[in-house]
Amino acid sequence: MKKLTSLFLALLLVLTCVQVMASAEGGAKVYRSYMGTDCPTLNAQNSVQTSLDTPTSYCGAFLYRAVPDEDGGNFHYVGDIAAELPVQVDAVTWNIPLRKEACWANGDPINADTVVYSFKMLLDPLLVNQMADFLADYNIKVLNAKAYNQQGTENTVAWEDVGVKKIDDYTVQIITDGEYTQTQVCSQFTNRATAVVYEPLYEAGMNEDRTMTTYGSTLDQYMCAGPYKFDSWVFDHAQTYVRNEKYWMPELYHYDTVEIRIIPEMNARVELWEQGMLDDLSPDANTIETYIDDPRMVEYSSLTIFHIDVNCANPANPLSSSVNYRRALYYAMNREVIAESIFGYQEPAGWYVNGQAGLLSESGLTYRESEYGKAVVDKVNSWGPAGYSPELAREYLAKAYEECNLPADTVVTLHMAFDESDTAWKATAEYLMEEFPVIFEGKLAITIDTYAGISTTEYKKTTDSWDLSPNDWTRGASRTYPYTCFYYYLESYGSHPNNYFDAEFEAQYAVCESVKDDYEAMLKETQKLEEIYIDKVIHIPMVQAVSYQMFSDRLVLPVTTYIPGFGWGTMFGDIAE
Amino acid sequence: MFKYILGRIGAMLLTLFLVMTLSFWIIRLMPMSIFENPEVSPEIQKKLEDRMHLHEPMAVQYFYFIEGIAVRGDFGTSVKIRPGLDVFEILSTRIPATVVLNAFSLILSIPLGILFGSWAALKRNKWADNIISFWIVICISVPSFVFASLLQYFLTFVWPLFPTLYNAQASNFGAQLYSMILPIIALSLNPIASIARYLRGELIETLSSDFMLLARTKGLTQGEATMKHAFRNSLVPIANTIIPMITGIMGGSLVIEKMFAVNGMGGLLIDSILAGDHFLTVALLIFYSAISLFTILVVDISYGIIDPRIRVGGRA
Repeated sequence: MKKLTSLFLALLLVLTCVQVMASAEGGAKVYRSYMGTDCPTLNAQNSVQTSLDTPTSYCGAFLYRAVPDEDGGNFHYVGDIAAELPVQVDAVTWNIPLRKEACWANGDPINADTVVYSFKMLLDPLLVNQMADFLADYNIKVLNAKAYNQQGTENTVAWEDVGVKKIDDYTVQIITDGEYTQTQVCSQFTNRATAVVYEPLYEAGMNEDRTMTTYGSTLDQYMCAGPYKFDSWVFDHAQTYVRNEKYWMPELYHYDTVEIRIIPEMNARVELWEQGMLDDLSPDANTIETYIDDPRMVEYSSLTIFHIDVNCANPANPLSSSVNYRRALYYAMNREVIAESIFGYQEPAGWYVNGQAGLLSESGLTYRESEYGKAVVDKVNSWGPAGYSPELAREYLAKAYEECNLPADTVVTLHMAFDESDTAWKATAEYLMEEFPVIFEGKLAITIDTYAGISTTEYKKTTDSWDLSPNDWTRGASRTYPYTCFYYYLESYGSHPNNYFDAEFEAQYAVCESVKDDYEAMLKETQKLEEIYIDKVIHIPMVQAVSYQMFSDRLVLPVTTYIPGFGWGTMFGDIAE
Repeated sequence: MFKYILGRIGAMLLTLFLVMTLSFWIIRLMPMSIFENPEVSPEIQKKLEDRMHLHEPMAVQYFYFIEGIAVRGDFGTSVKIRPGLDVFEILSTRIPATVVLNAFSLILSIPLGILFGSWAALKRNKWADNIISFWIVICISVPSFVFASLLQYFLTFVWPLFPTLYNAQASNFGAQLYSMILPIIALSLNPIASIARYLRGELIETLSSDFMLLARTKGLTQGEATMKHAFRNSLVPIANTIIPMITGIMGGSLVIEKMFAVNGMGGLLIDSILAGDHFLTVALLIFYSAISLFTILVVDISYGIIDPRIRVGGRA
C-alpha cells in the first residue's frame, strides 16, 4: 500500500511539473482571448461570419483604421494603407493617397493596383461575394458598384464605370453617388470586407469559370499585411498571430503574440478565466449571476434589440390585420420583468433604434442619447414602464374586436413560434401564456409552436399560421445611420419578416435616406420614423441587449469606456509588466 | 469465403449508393436556404442560389450531383463550414484528432475492460465482483459528459494537474497527448464498463460449463483452463462489442470533443446540417455509412477467424 501511495504521489509531482512548464510564457507580451466558433475562411470578401473580424483586423490591411485617441475617450481614423485621410476633389470624388512603404508580409508592395484589384474582386459579378454590399452600399454608396456587382453575365455595366479608379501607382480615387463626409468615407474602408487581397493567391485559387476562389481557405492560400501575421491556424481549435515585422506602424501595437482559442463551451471559458489563462471573458445569461458584482465587469448596449414580429396576414387569426390588435400586444408586454428576470440583466426597450446607433453625430452622442431619441423614450415611458400598460392593452383589444366585428366572448389563441433551443424566448412565451389571459381577461391566449434545425425565416416560409415570432435581426449600418434599423421592414426587402407593408412608413424611410448627408436632419427624421413604427406597431420591441465583459488585471486597455463602433480597442491594448 | 466477401462488398457499394441518393434527397428537401442571412442582400442570395442550381428541380440537381461524382469524382465543395474546400479535404483535416482520441481511448478500454471483467468473473459474488459491478452500472448509466465535467472541474480547476482544453499546437506529440488525457479518460469509462460487463457474463457462463470441468480433471490449473479454453470461447460475443469500437474510432464524440475543444469529427455533421452546408452533410453521411458497412463486414469475417466453427459462405 505504501508503494502504491508513493507511486501515486510521484505521478502527481511529475504532472504538476509538466503543467507548470507548459504554462511558462518566457516574458513575451501575450494576449490570450477566445472565440466561440472559428472562421470558415480567411477570405473576408465572402463570409458574413463575424468571427472573421478578429483575424482580419489583426492580419489584414485596409485603407483606414479606427484607432483610440490618446486620452482613451474616443477614437479617430488614421490611414492604414492610405497615407492620409481622403482628399475631397469635388462633391462626390475622393482621392486617397497610399503609403509607399505599405507591403505584404512577404515584402511584395501594396499599391493602387492592389486596392483596385481587391475592390474589383469584391464586386465581381461572377464571384458574387457575400460581402459585396459592404463596399457598394454601406456607409457610402460607391458609384455604379451595386449595378456592376448584380449584373451577372449581362455585361451592362463596365468596371470602368464603377467609382473605383487608379489615378497613379499610389493614388486611388473613389467616386460616390451622393455627398458624404470624410468620416463616412473613412468608416466605409475600415470594414473587413474592404481588406486588400493578395492577387497571386487569389488568382491561383480561382476555378475555371471564375465563379469561386479558394483564397483564404487555408493559411497557404492567404497573405497577411496587417500589424500581425499568422503563426498558426488549427481550424476549430486556435489561431496564433505574431508581429509582422514588415508592418509600417508597429508603434500602435504592443502585444508580441496574440493567442485566440476556439472554445465553444462556456464552462471551459470560465475555468480558463478562473485559472488566469484568458484575458477577457463575456459571461452569458447562465454565468452572469456569478460575476455581476465583480469589479472587473463592464457593460455596454449592443446593436441588438430583441423583438417580436407580428404576423399581419395569418388567415387563422381574425385580428391579424388590425393595428389596434398589435397596439394591444405592444402595451401588454411587461418588458422590465422579461428583460431583467428572464433575459437576465438586460434592459427593457419599448423602442427599436439600438443603443449604438448614430455614433457619427457631431455631438458624439448616439441617437438614443440625442434629444430625438430621448423624446421617443419619454413618450413610451409616459404610457407605463417601457410602454407596459395593461389598461391601454385592454382598451386597444376592445377596439380591435369592434374593428373586426368579433363577438366580445371570442377567445383568440395566438401561436408563438420560436427555435426550441432558445431558452430565453421559451421562458418569455411561458410567462406570456400566464400573463395574457389575465391582462386580456381571457380573450387572448398563447400557444407555443417550436421548430428546430431551420432559421426563423425558413420556418415562416413553411407556414402562415404563426402570430408571434421572436427575432433579433440587427443592421450593422445602423451604427452610422440609425434609420437603417428598419431596413428589413421595407417592402423592397426580400425576406420580409411580418407580412406588413405601410406606405407612410416607407415614405418616411425614403425621407431619412434623402437627408442622410445632413446628420442632424437625419436624426430628426429618424425620430419621426421611429414614432410611426411605434404607432403602427410594425413589430413589438422588447429588450435592449446588454453585453457584459471582464478583462484581466494584466490587460491595459487603451480606452476609458466602451466606444460604440470601436469597442474596447483590445487590439491596441498592452500587457502589464 | 472469397466469393462471400466479394458479394458483401458488392452489396456494400449498392447500399452506399442508396444512402447517397437518399441523403441527397432528404437533405435537399429540408426547408432552408443555404445563404439565408439578413446581412446579405436578397439579390446576392438569389444569385448564389442560382449558381448552385438550387432553383432547378430536384431531379436536375441530383443529376448534377451524380454527374460530379461519376465524371470528376467530385463530391462537391463546402459552402458554409469551409467555403471553397473539397468536402473530403475537410474530413481529412478533422479525422486525425478524433482517431488519436478514440484510439487511445480504446487502447485504455480493451485491456482494462478485459481485466475488470475477468476479475469480476473469477471473484464472482465476492467483494471485488460487487465493487466492479457497481462501478460498471455507474459508468454505463451515467453519460460521458457528466464524467467529463467532473474530471474537468476537479483535475483542471480544483487540482490543476491537466490542461482544461486539448492543445493541438503543443510542441510535440507527448505534450499533445498529455492535454488529451482527460477526454481519453472520459471517453473510456463507458467502453471499459461495457467490455467488462459482457466479459463477466460470458466468462461466468463458460467457467461453469462441462468442458471446463473436463479441462480441470485433465490436470489443468484454474488459470491454465481459464486462459486456454474459457477466454477464447468468451471472446466470440465480445468481438461483437469491441470491433465496432475499433472501426468506429473515426466517428468522433460530439459532446466530449466540444467540451475539451478537440477539433475532431464530433459535431461536424450537426454543424453542417444546421449551417445548410448540403454537400458536406451528404459527404459526411456517406462517410459514416461506409464506416458502418465496413464494420459489419469486419465483424462477420472476424467470427470465422475467432471461432473456426463459424465459416460463413464456406463449404459444409
